[in-house]
Amino acid sequence: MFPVLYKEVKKMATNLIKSKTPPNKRKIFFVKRETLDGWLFVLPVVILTLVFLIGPILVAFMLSFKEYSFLDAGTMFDAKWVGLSNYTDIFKDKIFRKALLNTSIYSLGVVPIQLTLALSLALVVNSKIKGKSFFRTAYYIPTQTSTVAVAVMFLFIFKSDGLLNKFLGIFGLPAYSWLNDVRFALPSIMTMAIWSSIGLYMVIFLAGLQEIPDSLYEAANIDGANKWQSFWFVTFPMLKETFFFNLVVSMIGTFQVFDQAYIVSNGNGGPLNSTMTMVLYLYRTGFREFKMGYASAIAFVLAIIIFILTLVQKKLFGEENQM
Amino acid sequence: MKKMVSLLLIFMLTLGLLAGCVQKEEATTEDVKENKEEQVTIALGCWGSSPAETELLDNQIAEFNKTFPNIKVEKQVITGDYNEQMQANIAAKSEPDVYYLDVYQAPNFIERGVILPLDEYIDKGDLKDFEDNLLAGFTKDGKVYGLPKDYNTLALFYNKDMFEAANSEVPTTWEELRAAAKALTTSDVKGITLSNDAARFIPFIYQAGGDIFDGNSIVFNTEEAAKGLDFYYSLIKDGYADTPQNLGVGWNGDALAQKKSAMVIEGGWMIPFMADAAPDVNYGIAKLPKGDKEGDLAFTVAYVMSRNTKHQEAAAEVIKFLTGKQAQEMVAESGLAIPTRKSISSLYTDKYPERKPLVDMVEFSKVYQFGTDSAKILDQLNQAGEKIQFGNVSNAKAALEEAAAALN
Repeated sequence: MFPVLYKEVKKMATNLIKSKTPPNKRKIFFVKRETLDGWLFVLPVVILTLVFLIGPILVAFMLSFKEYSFLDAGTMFDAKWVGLSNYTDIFKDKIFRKALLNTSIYSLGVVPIQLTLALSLALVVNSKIKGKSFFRTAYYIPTQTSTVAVAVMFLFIFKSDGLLNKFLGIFGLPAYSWLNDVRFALPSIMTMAIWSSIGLYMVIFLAGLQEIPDSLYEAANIDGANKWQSFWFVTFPMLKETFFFNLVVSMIGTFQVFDQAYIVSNGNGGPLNSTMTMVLYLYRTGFREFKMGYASAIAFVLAIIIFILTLVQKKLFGEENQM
Repeated sequence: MKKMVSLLLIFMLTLGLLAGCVQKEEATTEDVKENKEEQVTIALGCWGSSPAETELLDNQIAEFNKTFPNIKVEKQVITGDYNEQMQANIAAKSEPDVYYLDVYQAPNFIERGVILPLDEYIDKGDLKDFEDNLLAGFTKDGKVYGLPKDYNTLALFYNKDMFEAANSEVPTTWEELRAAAKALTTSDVKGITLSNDAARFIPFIYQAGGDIFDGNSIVFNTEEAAKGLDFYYSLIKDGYADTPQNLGVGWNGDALAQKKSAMVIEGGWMIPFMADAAPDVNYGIAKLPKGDKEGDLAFTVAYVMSRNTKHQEAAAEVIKFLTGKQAQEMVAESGLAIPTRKSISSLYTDKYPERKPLVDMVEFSKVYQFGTDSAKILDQLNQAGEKIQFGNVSNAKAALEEAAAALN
C-alpha cells in the first residue's frame, strides 16, 4: 500500500510543479491555490514518509560509517566516525560470508521452485475444474498465517519424532533429526518458505492469467495450436510482466529472510551457522553484540546486493516494461 | 491573504506534529537536592512473567509504598524482546529509573556507563549478606552496579520412578553419572538429555578444572576444559545421552516431562514447569555430579539504576528495598525464586527442603557472564560443541582451539 501511495504523491507533486503559470493574471492565484491545496492534502503522507522511511534510511546510512551502540551515552550523532572500516570489515568477516552464501543458496532454491509451483497452481485454479474457489482460498491461506506460526508448525513436522519421520518410517527409513543437521537445516527452512508464500504469487499469476484476452486463445486455436503451444506462445509471453514482478518481489523477500531462521535456530543461526542468514546476522550484531554501526553497514550491503540483482533481472526479463 | 492564512495553518499543523515528538523537558538539576516532602515517581522496568510472579512483585511494591509514602513506584512491564526493547529505550533516553538486568548483559552495561554505581547509597556491611558469587557479576573495580534480586543454579533433575526401577543411586561423581546413565538407558529412554548449549556444558568445564574467561581474555583452550567437554559429549557418543533435538523435544525440560530421559540438567525454572506440564512425573533434584572438583553456573538478575534517572536517592531506596530482607523473605515464602541473601536462604530451604541442592550449588558457581564479548564467546563455544557432536573435529581440544582462534 505504501509504495502505491508514494507513487501517487510523486505523480501529483510532479504535476503540480510542471503546471505552468498561465498568462492570465487572475488565474495565477487560482493555480497557486491549487498547488497549496495539493500539498496540504499530501502533507500527512509526506511527513510520514520523511519521518518513518527517508529519515531512518539516512540515519542508518550515517550510522554505517560510525561506531555506535544503543548503550552509548552520547546520541548517534555524537558517535565516532570510523570511515569505511565497517564496510571493509564486512568483507573480512567469515560469518558474514557464510550468511551471504546461505542467503544466496536459499534464494536460488526458493525463487525458481516457488514461482514454478505458483504458476502451475494458478493454471490449475484458472481452469474449469470443480471447486476452484475452494482451492484458490486453500492455497492462499498459508500466506495469511504468521511466519512464526508456520515455523513452529514446521518444527513439529521436521522434529525427530515428527510427521516427516513418521511418514518415512512407513517405508522403513530411520528417523532423522532434520533441523539439527548442517546439511538439512537450511533446506528445511526453504521448504517452509515455499509452502507459506506460494499462495501470494499464485494470486498474482492468476490475476495476470485472467487479463489475457480469450480472443488470443481462439486465434491460436484456429491456427491449429495444441494446448502446449497455446501455453508456450500465448500464455507465457502475455505473463511476462507478471512474471517479472513476481520474480523481483520473491527475490527481495528471500534475501530478507529472518523469521524462519530465527525460530528454527533459536536466534543462533545454528547448527554451525547453517541457518545464519544476512538479516539474522545483522540483527545479532546490532542487538547482541552492540554494534549498530556495523549492523547498518550490513544492511546497506544487503540493499546494494538486492538492487544489483533487481537490475540484472530487469535486463534479463523486463526490458519492455517499466518496472 | 487567503494564501497567507493557509500557509500559516500548514505551518502550525506541522509544528503541532513535531511538538508531539519532542520529549517534554522536566525539571532538571534542582531535583538532585530532593525535598523529603516532595513526591517522586520511580519507574521500575521489568519483563512480563507468570501471574504468581507478577503478584509477588506487586506485593513487594505495595510494601515499599507503605514504608516510603513519598516515593511512588510505577511498574513498567516491557513486552516483547526485553533486551532489544531496553536498548531502544536507552538510546532514546527513555528507560525506567530502575530496571531488571540479567547478569549476562551486565559487563556491557557497566563498561558503557549505562548504569550507575550504587556504592554511595548502600551499606558496605549489608553487602556481605548477598551471595558473593552473584554480587561479583555486578561488581567492577570494587564498585557495585546492581543488587541481585534472585538467582538459579543448574542441578540434576531426575525421574525417581525410573531410578527405582533400574535400582540406581543418584550420581554424585562423573563415574557414577556415566554408570547411572548407562543403567537407565532403555530402547525408548535415554539416561540423560544433554543439550548442545554452552549454558549446560560449561559446568563440566569448571568441574574438570577449566575456565572460560579470566576477566580479561578467554582461557578455555586448555586440557582441563577439553576434558570436561569430552566427558559431556562422550555420554552422547556412548549412547547413554542425547540432545533434545534428537529426542524430538524442544528443550531438556520436555525430555523429563515426556519421560524421554531419566535425568536432565536444568535450573529452578523446572519446578513450575513440571508442576504445570507433567504433574504425574515423580522427580527429584540433586546437586550436579562432581568431576575433579565442584562447579556450576549461576543465572541471576539484579536491580540496576539508570544513568538518566533524576532521582538517584529515591531510585537507590527502591533497589535497596526490593533486594532487602523484607522483600527477600517474601521471595523465599513464595518459592518462586531463590533469595539472594545468605540470611534468608535457610528460610527458603526450610520451607522447600527438596530444593536445597539448587542453593547448595551457589558457592561453587560462577555467574553466566564472560565479559563484554559474551555473545561471541558463547557462539563459538556452542559451535565447538556442535563440531564435537557432528564429528567435525577429532576431539574437544581441537574444537576449543578453533573457537579460540576465531575469537582472537
